Amino acid sequence: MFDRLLDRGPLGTVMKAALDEAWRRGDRRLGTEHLLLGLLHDETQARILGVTLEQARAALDALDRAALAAVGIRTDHAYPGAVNPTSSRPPLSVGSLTSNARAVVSPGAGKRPRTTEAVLESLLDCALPDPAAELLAALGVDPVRVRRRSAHPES
Amino acid sequence: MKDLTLTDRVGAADPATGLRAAQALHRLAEQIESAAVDHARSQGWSWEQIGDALGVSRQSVHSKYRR
Repeated sequence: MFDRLLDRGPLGTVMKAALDEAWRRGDRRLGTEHLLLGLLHDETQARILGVTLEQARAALDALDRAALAAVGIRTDHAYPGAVNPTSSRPPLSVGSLTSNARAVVSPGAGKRPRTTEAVLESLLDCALPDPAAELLAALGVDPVRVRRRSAHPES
Repeated sequence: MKDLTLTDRVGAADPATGLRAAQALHRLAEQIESAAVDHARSQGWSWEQIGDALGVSRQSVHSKYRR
């Protein structure tokens, strides 16, 4: 049923971008952090959040490196992040959503699909240890200020 | 502190940190495997030899990396 989300409208664009971001990182499931990166492909959403896609990717990579360092593993190259460009694309579909990601994009049976604005709202509501909440905290994004900008996107 | 084992370090960290590290290592292993398979193929290794080296069947390594 989630495949329908890819077919239509702005949310479909966000979902496709989120799947690309998950693939780019070599992740096996689509989580809320990928949905956040997917939203940031849209300039309006990036302006509302006050961060760029590149900043968010870098922050996610930094979280990974910090986690590896915390357990005593240091990598001396620019990993994690870039997928080996020669590797074949892993089978990743909207069926690979984590439970949190599913809750963010799916409004439940019989209801209309969420809008991208509603997806942003849900991501701002995520609490730690949700990966999107962790990424937003690492980026220093303040949900209160984002909500204010979201209400007046042109200001 | 110097003699902390890997398990000690994971136990001392926030669970989210340990889980994130595990996921990052999975991705790192996939990258190394993919690059190593490409390299072995370019050096003339057979799928059978690569499968043996990775501890998996020839079929599974071939279906994962053929192109």
